[in-house]
Amino acid sequence: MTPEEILKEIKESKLGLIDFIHQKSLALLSKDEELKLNAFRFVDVFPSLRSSSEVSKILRAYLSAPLNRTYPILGKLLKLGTITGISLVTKFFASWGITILASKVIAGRTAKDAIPKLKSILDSGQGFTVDLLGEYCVSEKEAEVYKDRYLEVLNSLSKKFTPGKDRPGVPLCISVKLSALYSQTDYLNFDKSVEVISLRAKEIVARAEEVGAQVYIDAEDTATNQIIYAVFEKLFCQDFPKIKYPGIVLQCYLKDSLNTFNRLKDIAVKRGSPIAVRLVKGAYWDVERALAIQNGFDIPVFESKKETDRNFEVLSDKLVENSDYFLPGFAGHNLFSLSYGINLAKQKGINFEVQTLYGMADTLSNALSKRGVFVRQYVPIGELIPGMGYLVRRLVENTSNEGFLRSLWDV
Amino acid sequence: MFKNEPFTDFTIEENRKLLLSALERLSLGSKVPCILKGDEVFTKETLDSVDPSDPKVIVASSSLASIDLAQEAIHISKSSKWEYVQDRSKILKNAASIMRVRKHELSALIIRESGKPWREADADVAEAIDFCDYYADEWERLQTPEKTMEVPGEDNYYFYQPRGISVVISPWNFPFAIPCGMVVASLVCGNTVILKPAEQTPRIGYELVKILLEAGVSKDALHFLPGLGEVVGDYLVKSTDISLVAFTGSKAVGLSIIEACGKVSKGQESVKKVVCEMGGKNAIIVDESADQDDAIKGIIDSAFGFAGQKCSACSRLIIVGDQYEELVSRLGDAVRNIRAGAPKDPATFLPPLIDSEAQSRVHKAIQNSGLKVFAQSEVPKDGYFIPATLFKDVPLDHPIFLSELFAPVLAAVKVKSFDEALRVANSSEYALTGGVFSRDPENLERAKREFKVGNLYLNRKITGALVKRQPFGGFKMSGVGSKAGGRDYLLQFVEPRVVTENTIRKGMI
Ligand SMILES: Cc1cc2nc3c(=O)[nH]c(=O)nc-3n(C[C@H](O)[C@H](O)[C@H](O)COP(=O)(O)OP(=O)(O)OC[C@H]3O[C@@H](n4cnc5c(N)ncnc54)[C@H](O)[C@@H]3O)c2cc1C
Repeated sequence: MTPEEILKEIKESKLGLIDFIHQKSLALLSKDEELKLNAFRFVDVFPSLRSSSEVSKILRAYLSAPLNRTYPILGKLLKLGTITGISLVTKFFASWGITILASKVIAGRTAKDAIPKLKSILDSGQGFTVDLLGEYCVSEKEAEVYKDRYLEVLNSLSKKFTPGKDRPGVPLCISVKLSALYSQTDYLNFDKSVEVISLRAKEIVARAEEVGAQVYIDAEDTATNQIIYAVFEKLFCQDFPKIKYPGIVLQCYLKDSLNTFNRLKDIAVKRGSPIAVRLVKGAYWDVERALAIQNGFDIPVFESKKETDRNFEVLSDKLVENSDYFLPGFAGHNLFSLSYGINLAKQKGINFEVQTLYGMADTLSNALSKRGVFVRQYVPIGELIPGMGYLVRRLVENTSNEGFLRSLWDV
Repeated sequence: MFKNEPFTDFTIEENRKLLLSALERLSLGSKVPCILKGDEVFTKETLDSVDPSDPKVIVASSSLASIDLAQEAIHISKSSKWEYVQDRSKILKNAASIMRVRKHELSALIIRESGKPWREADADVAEAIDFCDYYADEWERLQTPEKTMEVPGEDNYYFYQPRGISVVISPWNFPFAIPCGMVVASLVCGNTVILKPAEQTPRIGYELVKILLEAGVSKDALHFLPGLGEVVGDYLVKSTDISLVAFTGSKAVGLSIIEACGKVSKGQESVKKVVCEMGGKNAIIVDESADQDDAIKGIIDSAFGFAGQKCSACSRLIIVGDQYEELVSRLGDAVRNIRAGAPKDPATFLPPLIDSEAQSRVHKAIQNSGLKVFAQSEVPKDGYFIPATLFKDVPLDHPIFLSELFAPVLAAVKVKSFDEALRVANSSEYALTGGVFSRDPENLERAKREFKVGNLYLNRKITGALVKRQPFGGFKMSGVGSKAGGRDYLLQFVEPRVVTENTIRKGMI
């Protein structure tokens, strides 16, 4: 299996109308950095806006200057769209556009909404892991709500999908952002953070176990990750040592990711049974770097994309070499990075999977699935306002100059 | 080139251990002397400083300088040759190096004596280091005489001389950084300094002076007189021999110093200069386009960090439009969950107030406000704690909305429009810091022009200004003088002079 061959297939595959519009609009925006940035900023603020006059006002403030520069005709149209009376129409179009954008990468507002989509993923021979949007909680009340939502989702999904035996996490699998389980998550409040998060996560894991669902713990920013790994260790060495293939994430953009790898190996050894490791490059590159510079800290992430890519391969090697301890899930949308891991794992004949984000690279997932690779899609569910952080990250990822995804549509 | 001293990265476990062990090693109950001409002078009368979270613990027993000692300090200063010492900038850099080495030890002392939580104590030391480094660089820039214009046959030079004997009166809320900034600014310009630290934090002031002397400041140029404001403070300010007072503290004391210094007495050589930073009643505006999650986080940090005991802290919250109820309700939940505790516990977010006087003053203000408390955090029984407190629907003319409390008390009000928000925000007698949470580019632009405060922060917390990056200070009743950590600061500590020489002699130029 060569990446070139798959790439060719992807580029030749036919796009649906929505995908076509989506790609064309991203291409349009990417002509001008400021236009792109401001458009995404508008997308970010849109769900919080109430009145249509506000929508038009803010839309104009963000876009009129870059549009007049890049696409004068659209600039004129925008001016027209802010006249009172027409602003309702503007709001309607903005809302329509953003809903389409969002529905491409967010499977539904509730688990129930998402069920048809989850079903069709399973039908196509792929798997999923469900993520609940809402990365932020400011109070214990909100943390409890977040936990309860997971319990509910597990309930309602378990009614639709009966546990299978072929593979861990099929049909049911969830991914959890731990920091949202405690409003006082803070590395200086380390012990308490680990304690409270573990307590709430325990409920989720216990329920997951009841309904036969696999649990992945997402990785977050470097300040939170330490707490996350400590909770993972506590949960799956002390509280649930017998659970099969608890999942965790390893971020390759971090300079000290090899240490984390060793730590994960220790955990697997301590448990006496393997853990699932989702290998990603990492989603918070720009912010990690900016905050480190602002604070005068050592920059925790690699500063060249090449190094991150190279490290993805190094850690793929490590995971495959240590297949007694790990079930690797190579995650991302870079065909070259993924192929490296896939080929390695295939050569060694070990169990592995590929994980992609829902709606980000359907053609890629299908192409791999067709070739016998098990693909699991990460499927976010939730409302638009708490989902904005996720949506905007995806838009940025899709249009990043450094990124692989852009090369798929930007020809 | 100047770089801000990095904060300690406490995400690294090793660093957390370093500060923990510094806290364990910190000796308590030490005796703090006055320092005159480098000599330690212990007085009979003393005043204790305590750990505000556990007032039984005496951190230091400090000497109380008498008026005689103050007189002596002034007398010694008069004959100091400090202004002729060439490498004053280098001495400041030395001091910065010493502070860097002793960082955790100093943080530990700040934590115990002033009740600052970890991050803020660490930031206090970092800021002091920045002041030393930055003012050293600034003096390098200013000390070279500048030719005003090129004219044949005439040389014109503009240069600075020190003002003379300066008095620094410093607060307890930045017990290391603020005295350090004021003292080294004055010293590097060639003035001599008499430091009177806050009564609550004499030991931190003592450490500062020891470090500066160790770094090479002449013994006759820097004296340390812990004592009562009404006694030594008052005497020093009124002395005819001093030419500058640098003060940071309350509006009441600040104004009385300005008044006292305005009075010229017989035998006084120069008009006294006052550099004075006073209070704030700072507002954050949240408009309808704001990201609520970010806003709540920023508000909590700004209003309740170090229990609101910063002049930059937020005590007024102005919320635009119908989101008011939702935002206030979420914020209320967040307030109820705030972690209060002893500052030496790294997990503490809300520490106690500085002393029992502050505690009972604020307690009374809350009790007697006639307002219903909307949300409050829990706090330990012992120690000078005041719970983080949120009031909503506060009348715009209510004292809780108008007067500085210097405490973890936040008053929220609802307004209809961004116009009204700006009007309410600007209606304060103070003009120190302010903040806006918004994703509306037009509102942000308007705020830049129309929200009139010394330091305006957009979409972030309104505390934590950094030296050189965010020079700090306000106007109206928030202070006179120019921004600490900024390019105009040192100019207040010098007198400019100009020398003009006619170089034409017998037709020769
Ligand atoms: C199923 C799934 C689950 C995920 N879960 C998580 C998670 O829990 N936590 C998390 O953090 N991320 C997670 N991600 C997001 C993931 O990190 C990004 O999707 C991934 O980084 C994109 O990499 P790529 O190989 O697809 O694309 P590429 O385009 O090859 O790589 C882009 C990545 O390279 C890195 N990069 C970009 N510029 C530079 C530079 N100048 N120097 C160094 N590195 C650079 C960044 O990590 C960037 O995201 C998940 C992704 C998937 C598919």
